[in-house]
Amino acid sequence: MKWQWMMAVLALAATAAGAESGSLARDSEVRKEPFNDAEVVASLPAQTAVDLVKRKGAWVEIQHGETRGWVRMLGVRVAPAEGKAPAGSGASGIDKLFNTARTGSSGTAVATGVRGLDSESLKNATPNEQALDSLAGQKADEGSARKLASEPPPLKSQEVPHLPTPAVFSQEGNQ
Amino acid sequence: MKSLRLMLAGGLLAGWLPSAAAFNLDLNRLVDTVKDISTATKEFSPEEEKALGRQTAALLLGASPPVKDKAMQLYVNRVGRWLALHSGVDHVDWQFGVLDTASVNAFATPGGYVFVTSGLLARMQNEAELAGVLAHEIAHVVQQHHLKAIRKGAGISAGANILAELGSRNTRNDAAVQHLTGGIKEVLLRGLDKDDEYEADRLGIVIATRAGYDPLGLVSVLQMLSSVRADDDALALMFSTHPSAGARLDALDEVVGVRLDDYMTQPQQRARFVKKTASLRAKRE
Repeated sequence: MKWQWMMAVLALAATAAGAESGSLARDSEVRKEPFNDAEVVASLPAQTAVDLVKRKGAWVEIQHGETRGWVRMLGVRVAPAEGKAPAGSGASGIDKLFNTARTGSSGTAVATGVRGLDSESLKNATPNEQALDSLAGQKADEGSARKLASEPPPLKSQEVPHLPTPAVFSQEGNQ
Repeated sequence: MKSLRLMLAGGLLAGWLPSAAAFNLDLNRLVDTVKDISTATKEFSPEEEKALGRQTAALLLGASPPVKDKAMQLYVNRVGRWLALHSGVDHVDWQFGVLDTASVNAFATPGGYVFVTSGLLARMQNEAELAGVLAHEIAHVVQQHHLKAIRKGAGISAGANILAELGSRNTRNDAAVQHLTGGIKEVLLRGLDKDDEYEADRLGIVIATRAGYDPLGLVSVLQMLSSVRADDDALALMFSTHPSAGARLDALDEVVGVRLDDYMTQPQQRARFVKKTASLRAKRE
């Protein structure tokens, strides 16, 4: 148990540190600095496997062989490259370890873990209004929300225009 | 891997179609029984929206109870309320909550109930990610996506009369409650229109950015989701009711461009997020 939990912690720590492998979502120009007008040091095709070194604002520094430079954060995918199985335990493994640990702490569930909120449990669910009423005690009013936002580093309200609506979505649209 | 996920989602969706049709019939019959089609075609009033949302929220809590950590629940409510202040609507009585389940998902209902599962919360790294997910759900409420789905499922602009019925006879055995609860279940199981999910992603990112968060919180969660195995049971319902995380990232990549660059260094609030959600991680041996 202890060993499994440590593995989960290590895996999470690795993710948090940002030392991840990823791939390019599209054909990309790799720039020397994290700016739109910075010098292009290489052009790499979509699907190229890259190491994600660090983020700076809208940019992420990538390494591919001898090539090191910056591409847009939204232009990379952390997901494993197409066709490759997720490494070792993967997030799925972490989740299973997490479940096991939860079961131990709750003292009520059996070893199979906490019941998931899946289509089956939803189909069989009956309304629990008591639980809903109890949650109302933890509602936050505007003052409470503003107080949280003012804690350093403060969250500052911004005027941000809406994003445009794309004309056509991917082929995965409505059924 | 991706195609497998698509095939899986398609299969599940097809499997639900017969029950969706059954829901059509039920709701139409119900409208017949109240014999007032003229008022049934009007829009939902805020009260009716709230009543419907309350039923939906109670149903979700019937499937998974709230996490018994009041400090965490309050924290999520404060983050959610702060986001809602930037949503452009001020008439909604927001209630946020964390559902105690390993499943990875988040839900919104009409009337301003928003839930995130502890399974998803435990996989998040900071408050900006939480904000990204909550803002996506807030966007569903603001745009009334669920009401749209219910109307579409019923084949008419149904609801008004049924909900009035619901408000006057608040008993679980009432036929209207039974039928409506069934209809709500169908929407939860079937998911919303895919275009509405993409719209909630776009609007959610704007809401989170307006609230002062790193705009990429939702993107970070989608990156995490896209790296999870497609056959992971904890994500089955979420994957079957949403476009793939990869497709959502592609869509955001397309519209965000350089538009949010000025806000990319806004805070992620990792420290207090880790502290407030510690009970999801701190386990006794």
